[in-house]
Amino acid sequence: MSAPSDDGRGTPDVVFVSHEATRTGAPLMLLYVLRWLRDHSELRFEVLLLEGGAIEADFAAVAPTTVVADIGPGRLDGVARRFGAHRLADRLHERRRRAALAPLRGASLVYCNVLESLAALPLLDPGPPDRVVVTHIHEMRAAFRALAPAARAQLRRSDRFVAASDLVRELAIDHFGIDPERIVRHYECIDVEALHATPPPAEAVEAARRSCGIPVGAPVVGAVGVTGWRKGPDLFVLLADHLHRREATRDVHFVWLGADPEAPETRSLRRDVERAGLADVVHFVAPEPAPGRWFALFDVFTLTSREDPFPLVCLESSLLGTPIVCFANTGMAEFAGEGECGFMVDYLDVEAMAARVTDLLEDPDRRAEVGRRASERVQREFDYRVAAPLLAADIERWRPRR
Amino acid sequence: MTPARVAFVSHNASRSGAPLLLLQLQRWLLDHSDHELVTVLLDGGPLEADFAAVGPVVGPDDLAGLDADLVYLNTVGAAPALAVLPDGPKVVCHVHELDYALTHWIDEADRDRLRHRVDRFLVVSQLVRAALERCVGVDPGRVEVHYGFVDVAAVAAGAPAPAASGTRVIGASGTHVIGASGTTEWRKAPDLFLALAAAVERRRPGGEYPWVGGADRGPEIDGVLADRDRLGLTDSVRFVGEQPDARAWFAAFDVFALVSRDDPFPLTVLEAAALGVPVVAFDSTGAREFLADGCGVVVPYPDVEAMADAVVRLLDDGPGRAALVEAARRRVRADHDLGVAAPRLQAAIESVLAS
Repeated sequence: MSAPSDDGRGTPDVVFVSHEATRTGAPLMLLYVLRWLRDHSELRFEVLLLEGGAIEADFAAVAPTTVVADIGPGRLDGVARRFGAHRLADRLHERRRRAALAPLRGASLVYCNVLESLAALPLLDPGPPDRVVVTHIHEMRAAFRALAPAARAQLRRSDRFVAASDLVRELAIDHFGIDPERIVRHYECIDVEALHATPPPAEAVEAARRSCGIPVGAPVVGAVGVTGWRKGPDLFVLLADHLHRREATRDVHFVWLGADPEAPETRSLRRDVERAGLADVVHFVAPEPAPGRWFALFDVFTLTSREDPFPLVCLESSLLGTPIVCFANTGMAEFAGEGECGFMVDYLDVEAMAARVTDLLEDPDRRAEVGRRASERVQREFDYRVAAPLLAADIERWRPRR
Repeated sequence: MTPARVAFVSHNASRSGAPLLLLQLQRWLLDHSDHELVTVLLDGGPLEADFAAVGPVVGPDDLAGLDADLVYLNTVGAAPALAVLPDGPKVVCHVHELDYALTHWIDEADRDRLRHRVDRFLVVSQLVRAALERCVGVDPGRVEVHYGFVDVAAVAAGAPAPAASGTRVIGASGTHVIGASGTTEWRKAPDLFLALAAAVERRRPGGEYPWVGGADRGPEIDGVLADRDRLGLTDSVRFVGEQPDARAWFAAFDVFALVSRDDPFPLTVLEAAALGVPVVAFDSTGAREFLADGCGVVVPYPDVEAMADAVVRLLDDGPGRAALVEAARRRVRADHDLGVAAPRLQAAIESVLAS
């Protein structure tokens, strides 16, 4: 998987670049599109990963895959480095990387799955003069501000843009200065069949419940994500505090899945939860490769993100019929609506979020009804069998005709 | 009392609570004792010149050869000094830190040295005494509570008389000003200040919310600023950074909000009290020990809505507010003035020297 072999497979039509191969939204979305293309089109394509990750092998199973970070030092640059000639070693290493990627250079379309992936473009130069660059934007304000200079410098080379939600599209136009004619919205998607085929065993769900000391029958409010500021775990604690203050919702438990136990933010949050007297009911749980058992435990799913383009975890949770409550400034608000598949509340209005969550917990019929609509909509619109062909069709349309 | 050599070890010379308190104590001792004072700064900062005005200042390299009768560690941040300190001097440690710092800022070797090498711990609140027992395993019997203090007369003198000058640094007439002060790190909770401002605005629109001190831009505060802008509070919630005339800002506050998640015993609360500004705080901070008995309002952490209710009550209830301000002023003069607290600290130092 490290370097493309010269096995005579020829120049690909399209190179799909992913910044990494973690089990997160943007790489998963790309993987789904590639699976669909493999099965339904004649397109010849390869994958270029800037960094590897947990779903690296899944990419390799779909198409020839190169991991830039794995194109290690060669014998010559190793010698140069041993003699302290670091700049020479860097140049030799760079030359090796470019040589390894030579077979990809003829591609007439390069697709970058996030803005960060644009950093790969110089490695694929020079390309055909009519090459088209497509960039899929998932980034919102904070991520755009934090964009590495190497990627930012390539932004003007992109001919077409895909936005992960209407909100992302608006931001890209208003704040990043992208031409409205060149950017279309494609929501992210999930593999509904695969999720249906592997429901979490009841005992695994039970084990999850027991591991947090949640009594049988206690309502559970869930959230999923890393514990950085952007995802708003601090707001999740405030939400829990709101519900815990009311007698009627004192027995509600709160599970945040995806908290790296070693991260300093997680430690601070745990301490905060103790300080607020919520240690018995608020649980920060380490990430799991198969988180479905936790989703099955949640009665209401909350998205407390300060910004979030269109998180896949919300789709997975909705598929199970769990209604979602989110802030209006996330892409998920487009899915949740006002009681259609969930609820949105004003940005940072934790009190309003607490009121919606309480309503849903206290009205099982309403919860079931909203959850059912959410599940149906995910199956109807957000399965990759439905969504991936739409993006694939655009990619075909944008590809230069030879 | 016999003159002794006392070495004060400060983790740095930043313009923050612990070094400022140390300076006040040193100046007091200079005027009221014959002790020879040396300052050891483990790191620098803007107060270096002030320390140099008190006596000789040396660096961490001089610790091993330190010739002193007593070493006074100004915070647990100075605990690493114990690793190189000679065996001779008695050791006093003034503790201003709570769980997170006691657990993560120092390591187990530091905690071990604190347990074994320190003769007496002076802590700034009961909350700190409990944390020291819980996180370091220090027997409460070796711990004396010495609350923080300010020079009340100097604080009051430093503030402009708003009625006379008519020059408030903030707040047009009729506007309510809810202020806060401190660094802008997570512990001090500028994010909760924003939540408080939003909650007060829902009840009473048109207020101003200045935060004095800390960063006014940069990674520590960017997220909060972005949230503020999205909430439409750009003009009313202002992070004004370090101010040379912080007291003039305080004097313009209608209410001082201490929104800290934890805070051992913030001196800003004493300054607000000395200036006649009522204080609201969370019960998770040492400030609750000062604000008890009607000297302020304490609400459960992190109930921002309850804090907003308290703020609005203070804005509306003139007599209640006046009684609270008066009680706080009496308490800060009686228990937390330099002239009262420094002699007590001096007595603690003398008793360790004599032991």
